[in-house]
Amino acid sequence: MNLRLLASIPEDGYAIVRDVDSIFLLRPPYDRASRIALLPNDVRDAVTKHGFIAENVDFASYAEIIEHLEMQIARSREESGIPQETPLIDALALAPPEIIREFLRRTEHELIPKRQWDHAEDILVNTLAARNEDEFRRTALDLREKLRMARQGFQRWQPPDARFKTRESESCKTISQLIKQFHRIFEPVT
Amino acid sequence: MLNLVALAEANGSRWEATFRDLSGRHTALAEFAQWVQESSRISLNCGWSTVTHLLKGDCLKNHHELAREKAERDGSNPDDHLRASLKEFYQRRVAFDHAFENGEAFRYGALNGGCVGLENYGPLCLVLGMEKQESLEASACLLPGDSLFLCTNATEDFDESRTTDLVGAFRQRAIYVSTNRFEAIAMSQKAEWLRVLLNSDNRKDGCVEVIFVGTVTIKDLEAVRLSQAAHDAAWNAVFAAHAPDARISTKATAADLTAFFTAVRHKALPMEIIL
Repeated sequence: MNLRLLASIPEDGYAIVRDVDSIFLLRPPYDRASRIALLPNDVRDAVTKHGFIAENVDFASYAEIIEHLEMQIARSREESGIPQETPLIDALALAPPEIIREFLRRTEHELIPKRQWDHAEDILVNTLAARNEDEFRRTALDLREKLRMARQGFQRWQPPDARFKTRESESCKTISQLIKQFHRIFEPVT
Repeated sequence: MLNLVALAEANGSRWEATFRDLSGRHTALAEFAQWVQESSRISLNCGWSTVTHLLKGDCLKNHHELAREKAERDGSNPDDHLRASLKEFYQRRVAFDHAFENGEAFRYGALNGGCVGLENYGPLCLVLGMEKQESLEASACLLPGDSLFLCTNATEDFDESRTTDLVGAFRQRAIYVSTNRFEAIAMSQKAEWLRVLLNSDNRKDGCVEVIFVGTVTIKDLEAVRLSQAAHDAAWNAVFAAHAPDARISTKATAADLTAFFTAVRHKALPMEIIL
C-alpha cells in the first residue's frame, strides 16, 4: 500500500492523506466514518490558511500513519503545554443530560455485555460522583448492581470450552497414568 | 510594497457601479446584499486544540508567527521553519504576503452567513464578534476566493494586476459579494444563500476570503459554532477515552472538549450547535 501523508495538525491528530488517486482527511477516531474525501486544492487551503503543516511522508499502511499521528499528538502537546487527558468526572459534570443518558445506555448495552467491566465501572462511579439528578443516580445505581451480578456470575461460570479442556486434560492425565501402571505391571523381566 | 487596503478602496466605485448595473437585472440581488450586510461575520475554522490554546490566553497565530516562535526557541532562522511547514506552498504564500505592507501579519478568514463554515479544515468555526468586526471595518479586505489561487500565476509569482482587479473593501462586503456571486445568486433560492456565500459548491475558488490584520483572542469571539455531528463525535471521544485501550488522540479530544465545555459553562465562550 502506498500512502502519503500530505499535511497534518499535530496537536489534533488531523491528517490529509493521499491513497493512490484519492485524498482524504483523517481525524480521530480514525475509523472509516470519520474519513472525508477532499479535492487536491483543499490541501493548499489547509496548509496555507488553516493551520495544517505540510508533511509529504510515505507510509506503508494506515496503521503506521495513525501511530505517527499519535506520537505527534503526545510530543506537540507536551511542547505546547496543553493537556493530553483529563479526568472523566470533569467531563461528566459538564455533559448535557442527553449525553449522560446516552453514556448510561451504552454502558448497559455495550460495555456490560462485552465484559468491559472496568470501563463500565469507571463511567458509573464517575456519573454518581458528578451528577445529582435522580434519574441518573437511579440508573447508575441499577447498572452498578447489574454490573456486580454480571461480574459474579462470570466468576462462578466458566465457558464450556474451558470446562471441556479441563476435563480433556484430566482424562488425558488419567489415561497416561493407566498406561504407566500397565507398563509397570507388565514390564518385561530382563 | 503594496497596500492591500488602498488597492481595495481604489476599486470601491467600480464595485458600486457594477452592483447598480446588476441590481437592475435581478431583483433578488438587493435583498441578498442586505442579508450579507446584516448577517455575515468573519469566521475561521480550526480543530479542538486551537480553542484550548485560546482559552489558555493565547492569540490565533499564522504561519509567520509560528515560524518566528519556533526560531526563538531553537535559535534558528524563522524562514527555515516557514519553508518546513509550507513546503511546496511556500513560494506562493510568501510571494503574496511579501507583496504587501504588513503581509506577514495577514490572517485569512471566511465570510460566513451563519453556518459552521469550512468544516473540512476543522470542526469548530470561530465567529468574530460585532465589536471585533467593526474594528476591522475599514482595514479588512476581500477576495472572491483563495488568494493563493487567484493572486499568483503559473510560475508561482505574485500577480499584481489580477490582485488589483479582484480585491474589495470589507466595508463594501454586501455589494462586493453580490457582484462576485451574481450568477450563483440568480440561480439560487433564499434558503441556499448560506452555501452561495461560502461557495461550498465550487471548491476550486473557495469561500469569500477575508484578509485582516490584528490579534484574535477568545474575547473577540461572538460564538464557536459546531455541527451536531461534531458535537456528538467529541462526546463519543469522552466515552471512549477511558477504555483501557484508548488512543492518545481520543484522550486529547476528550481533554479539549472538557476545557471547551468548562468555558461554555462559565459563559466565557458562547457555543452554537448547528443542526
